[in-house]
Amino acid sequence: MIDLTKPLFALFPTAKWTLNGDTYAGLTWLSEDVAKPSEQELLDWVDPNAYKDKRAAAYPLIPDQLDLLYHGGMDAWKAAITAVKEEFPK
Amino acid sequence: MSLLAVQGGATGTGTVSLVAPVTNTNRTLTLPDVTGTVAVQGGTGVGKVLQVVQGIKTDTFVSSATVTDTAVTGLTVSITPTSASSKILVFCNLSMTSENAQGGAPKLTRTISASTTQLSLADAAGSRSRGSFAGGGYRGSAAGYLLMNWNQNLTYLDSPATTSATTYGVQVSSISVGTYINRSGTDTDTSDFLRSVSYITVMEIAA
Repeated sequence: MIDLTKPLFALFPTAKWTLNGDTYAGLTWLSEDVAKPSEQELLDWVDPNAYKDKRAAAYPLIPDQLDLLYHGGMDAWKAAITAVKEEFPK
Repeated sequence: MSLLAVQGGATGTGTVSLVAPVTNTNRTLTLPDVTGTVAVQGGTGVGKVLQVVQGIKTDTFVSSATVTDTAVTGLTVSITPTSASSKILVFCNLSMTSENAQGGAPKLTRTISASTTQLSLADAAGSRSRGSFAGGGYRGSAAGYLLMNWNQNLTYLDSPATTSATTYGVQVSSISVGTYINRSGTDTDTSDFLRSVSYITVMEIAA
């Protein structure tokens, strides 16, 4: 389920609206100077920062990273981090 | 068979009458099998809560930037007081967060016949935002506030002085960014993120 507030905030940063629930049916458009976007327009939006969330979820936990540093040194740690960055490029 | 004895007062000159209602149905009033004094409505020792109603919002609501005092859709409860002298005790639990420093400025509202009044507002203090609740906003460091979600609670004793249908609700505001109900700002579809519930409960209290 897409969070419609993300494209709404990104594409219409000054617009006034409320969203009740998670679906387009709950969108009430309050701005008169900005046209209400279509549902498809919002669904087509690609989050330029999506890679950040994917990387954050894929990085090893901090205790595991510290353990990797202790046992494998900086090179091992860097290799693990680089693998995640390459899996989810910008 | 147990017996029913009617005993006059030891002193006093008044007459106490038991009056039958206007009815065509046989009725039986059963006395409790305890020793004590039978209480009547309006006297001491009688419950004062006449009715209890609750409204629950289980889905989410978000308001965008520069939206002022917008009603949170679905977070309402309606009650019709049986007497204009009754008080309404309002309990509200608002699960919210806001990216705004004023915390969404949440306000309790009462609507009677399409006329809405904001209740329990803080004193005016220059240009500062006023609320009925403490706000749920935090902009202290990084983007941590986007991951938060607070329960804001309110208890308010209202005197609507009406026997018309009375609806209680909540308004929120957003100055520059968003205000979120029943969710955090960041709302990624993983188990790391929580959806929650807000509710308003009202009790009619006899005067």
